[in-house]
Amino acid sequence: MKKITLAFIAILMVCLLAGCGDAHGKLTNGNQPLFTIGKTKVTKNDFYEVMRDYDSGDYLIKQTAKYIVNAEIETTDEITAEARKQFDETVAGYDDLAAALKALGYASEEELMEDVVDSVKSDRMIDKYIEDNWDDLTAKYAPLKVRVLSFETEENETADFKERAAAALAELKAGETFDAVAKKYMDESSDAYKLAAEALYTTATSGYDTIVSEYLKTVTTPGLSEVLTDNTGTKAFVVQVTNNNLTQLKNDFVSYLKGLSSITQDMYTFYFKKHNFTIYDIDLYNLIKTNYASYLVQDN
Amino acid sequence: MKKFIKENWFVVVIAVFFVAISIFFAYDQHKDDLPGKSVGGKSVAYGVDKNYTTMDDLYDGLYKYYGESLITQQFSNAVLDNAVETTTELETEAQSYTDYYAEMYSSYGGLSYLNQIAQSYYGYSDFKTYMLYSIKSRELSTKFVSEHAEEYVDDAFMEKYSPRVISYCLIKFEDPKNPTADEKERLQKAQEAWASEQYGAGNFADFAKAFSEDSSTASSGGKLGYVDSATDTLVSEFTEASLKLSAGEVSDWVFSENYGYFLIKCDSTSLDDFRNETDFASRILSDFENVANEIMWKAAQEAGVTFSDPDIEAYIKSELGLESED
Repeated sequence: MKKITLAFIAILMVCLLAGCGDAHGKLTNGNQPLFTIGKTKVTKNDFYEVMRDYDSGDYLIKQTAKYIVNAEIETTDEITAEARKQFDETVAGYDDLAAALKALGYASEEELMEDVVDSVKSDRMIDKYIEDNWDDLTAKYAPLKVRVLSFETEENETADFKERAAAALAELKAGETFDAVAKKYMDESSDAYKLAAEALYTTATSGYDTIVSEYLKTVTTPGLSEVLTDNTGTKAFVVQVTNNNLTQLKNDFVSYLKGLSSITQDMYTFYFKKHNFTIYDIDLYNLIKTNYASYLVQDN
Repeated sequence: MKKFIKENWFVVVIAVFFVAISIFFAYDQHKDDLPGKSVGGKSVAYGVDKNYTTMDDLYDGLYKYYGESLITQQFSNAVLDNAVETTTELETEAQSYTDYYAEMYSSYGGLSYLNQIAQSYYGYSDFKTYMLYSIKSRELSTKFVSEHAEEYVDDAFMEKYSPRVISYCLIKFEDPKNPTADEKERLQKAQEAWASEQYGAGNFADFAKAFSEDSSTASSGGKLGYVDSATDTLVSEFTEASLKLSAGEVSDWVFSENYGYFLIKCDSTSLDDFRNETDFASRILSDFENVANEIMWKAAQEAGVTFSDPDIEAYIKSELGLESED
């Protein structure tokens, strides 16, 4: 009885542990040697590892992105026409098509055209991404149109900087234009004067004092602030929000988003997740984790 | 059974507890393991939606992009592994170069940067491995060229290149156009010693050991090695003076605006004395088309080469400039 029990437990343990561990994908005939030189055998598995590490995950990310672009964006006549235009512009820089294909590393015109079409569709996908995530993006970036007057102690000014800020605010409230007040109270050659021009502001915009950013978080309607003094007590600001209507700000905000260096990565992270991008081999997983961590969406 | 449990209930409880803990432990250890997948009996590498790419598909895709360039490199590395033993000396040299370049590129990230370059651009696991294979390639080429030197060196070669083995002594000036009093004194001492009966062409090596201020060659008697008319790593005044010398002859003191004063000796102009020099092998490799490929293929044949993939065989042979029937 005891022997049977012990044997059962041993078998149970083996069953529990056998087959466990991270998955390693296998190549068909992986141990097949590609060539042998003396004592050195280079197998298909060996060569796969060399190519895999050299590639660093680029190939599978590009292939996945290509699949997603084609799944999300239909190839319309407009896209084809735009792609043909870009294709012609690209080839025009070379002696002829053959020279262009050779220089760019393509075997055929069809291959190059396919990549150009994918590139055009990728640009369209950014528009789609923004459209699909409009609410989240507007909540994250909270776009506004703003103007800012800045005041600080200056040698040639007799009035205290807070007094000048208060005087400027009074003139604005009395109906004076923002441009006129800015020219009157600020040095037009200063960096601060640039912020007096109306500009799109988001939570990711830099160059604004903390007190101004904190104020803008609280704004719900366009209008003027009171005089804001920074934490050091050496600067004062008057802020005007000219527009917070998301519909009216849409074009400017979309242009802004497209200019962000992170937008393409954010877009692909979103769509990789939407299309359930999953890796089934631990070595590839670790490679993507090192080089494309944001696209590793299967653990989220 | 019931009687057994009744009589040994405490042992049974402990055993059940142990099994439960073991099961939980096994589950906990492996619950975050990456799960695999198979489709049609083949391992899946990755998937997007229900579109699965197998490991075989991934291999084919990677081969399309990188196969041809990397397979030649793997072939070359395999040849070198068989033809040149990885000795402690070669490992040390590879490490020395690695340390040197890591220091040179420290502002870019040093060794991490170099390892990234070695992997991303050359397909090696790390920079030291890349250096080791470069050194082995040098060793193989030098040995082959030395053994076959007569096939490449004829009267035309000798006339074109005036090849020779050179040694030198350097009195180093920081700013040769404005020497310090100390530098002038050192030069004078060296010049007086050379002019004396103590030193001559026969013991130039002793003179260089005693007076040369070039730390890279002084301890070896000033030996530089192979120099010819196309050598472009030396200042022109040095090369010009070297080429004017006959075998065994020593130059006058040669002024260099960059370094100070050289005294140069032509040790030999005989093939047997420079056939083993690395720079001579480099000259042959650069001057004669396909020698490097010839070396690689001969070394492969000597080790014994077999191909299992005819496409790879055809490609490698075409890269080496061989007919496929060879």
